[in-house]
Amino acid sequence: MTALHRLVVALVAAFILAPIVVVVAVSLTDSPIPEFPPRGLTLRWYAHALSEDVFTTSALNSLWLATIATALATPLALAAAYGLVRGRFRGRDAIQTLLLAPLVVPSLVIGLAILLAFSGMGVRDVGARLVGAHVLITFPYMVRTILASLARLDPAVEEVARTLGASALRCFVLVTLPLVRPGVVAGMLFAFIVSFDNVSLSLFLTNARTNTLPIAILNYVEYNFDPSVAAISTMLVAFSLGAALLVERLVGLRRVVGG
Amino acid sequence: MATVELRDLAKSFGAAAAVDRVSLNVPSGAFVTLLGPSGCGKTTTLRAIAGLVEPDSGAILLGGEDVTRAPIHRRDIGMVFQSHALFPHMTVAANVGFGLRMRGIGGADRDARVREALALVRLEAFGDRFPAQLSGGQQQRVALARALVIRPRVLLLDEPFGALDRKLREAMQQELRELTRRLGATAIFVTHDQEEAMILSDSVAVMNAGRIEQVDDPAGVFERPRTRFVADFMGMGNVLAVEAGATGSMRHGGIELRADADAAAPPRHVAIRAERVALRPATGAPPEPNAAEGTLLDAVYHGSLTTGRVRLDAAPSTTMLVREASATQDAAGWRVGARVRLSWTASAVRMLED
Repeated sequence: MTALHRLVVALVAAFILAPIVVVVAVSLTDSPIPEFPPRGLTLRWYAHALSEDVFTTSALNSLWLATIATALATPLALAAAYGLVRGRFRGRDAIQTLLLAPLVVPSLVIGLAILLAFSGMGVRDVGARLVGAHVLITFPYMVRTILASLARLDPAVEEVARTLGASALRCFVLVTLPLVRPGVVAGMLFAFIVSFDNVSLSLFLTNARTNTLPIAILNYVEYNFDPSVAAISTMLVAFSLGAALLVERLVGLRRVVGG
Repeated sequence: MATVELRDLAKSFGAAAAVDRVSLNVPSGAFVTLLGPSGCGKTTTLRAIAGLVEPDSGAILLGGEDVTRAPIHRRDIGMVFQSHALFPHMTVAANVGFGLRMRGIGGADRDARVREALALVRLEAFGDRFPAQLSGGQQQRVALARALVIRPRVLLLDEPFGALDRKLREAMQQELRELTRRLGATAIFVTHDQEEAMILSDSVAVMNAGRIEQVDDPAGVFERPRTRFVADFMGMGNVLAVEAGATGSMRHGGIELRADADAAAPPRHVAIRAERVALRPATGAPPEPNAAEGTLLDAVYHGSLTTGRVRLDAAPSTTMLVREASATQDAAGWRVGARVRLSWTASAVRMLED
């Protein structure tokens, strides 16, 4: 690597990391309003954030929601991706494009559409509405990553397992699944983060009593302006980083994201 | 091991017939090769036997039992693919033991059979490795052991050595030949390489456009091709269009050809293997049957053999191929541009069906 390369890499890294550094710094400030550079050093905004019911209950809601949405989307996405890669049928490309559509359609539009659809179907329960919407929005990310893993899997590997006496199910469990696991795990991680971060869909579907964390933060900053929001954000960053590190330890993030 | 019988097997993909009423009998313990260019239906035929392709019509019998509609995993076959297709997440021993595990064979019995199978391919010491830690030849030997360990009714091999370099391929061919003979394994091998087919097989089925054109022993398809396609594919070198000439002879342009056999109907084409044509300096002697004079256009040196192209005076639109051992060729005749005389025996003239 030449000196110029190093400089460019350092600048890009700084550009990406700077806002996060600012948020972390602000969360530690000992003044009643967000200030940068921070004045003094304190953890009291963390204590304050964790003592606010709006944050803790909505954070638990978000965790549950992301977990359930990911758990439901995973088998659906596996089946869809497997069918798309191994199946030979008319309209396969069209279906593949359609399945990835939620990635391209603006999510506000999807949010409105889902709201109208659920109202029409008489789904009133906020939890059910959120789970349905979040499965829809996380599904394409999982299909994508699983498709990439499956495309690299030599069909002969599965065929040989079948000829050696494995039924279709055993072949899938013993051969296919272990070999696409990196893609599945990456898809689950993305799905979880997409669901946990989502604002635009949840905005349409939450109400005053049932909230997700991003919506709670949004509501909070509308009426309050103190560094506890920075503290919440810092905890979110730490949480995502922890998840990424966990995946790195379990399967190797580079294998998951890259080739 | 079992016999394999194909009866009028047919399979189309869309409008294209991949396999067109193929019938074949493979005796128990025989090594049969399906030989042909890509797209001739040889792989589809093999995959139909494995159950990986469902035939449109016809029947497949293994050891006399009709398995045409049997599921893949109940057929008891061992298959080896070109891309060794080892399970990358399992050790060599687990790969080889997979088929036994599917049959509910475990414990010491499985371990013993895995060891035995790895010994067959001389990889006893590699059981704990992963496939990625092996060389290409070793990977293919593991694939072979994995297919053989279940004592399959038939061993199916789909161009297994296609990805290996020449030297390794020859060593693997030798090893496969010895192994299948020793085990008495019934094997069906698919390749587009005629030399590989002849080295390995008891019998060779040459396929073209979904059909078997000729089944014969290696010398049979090489020396005595029945059709134009087989003659061409087996590298006869010269396939000449002929008309019926004077009693019992044939003419190609101004050249008279005589064969030592009688054809039921007068043939429209004959084949003459390039190696069976002799090249000498031209004499200017009057024309005689099975000889022709012309000009040597070029000579390509392949090492032990040299191939020449000769334009014939009596049939100017024809160039004949002649191939001789480089060491014994007539130096005077093999000068490019030289006037030469080609001759061949009546036994070299093969009359072909269309």
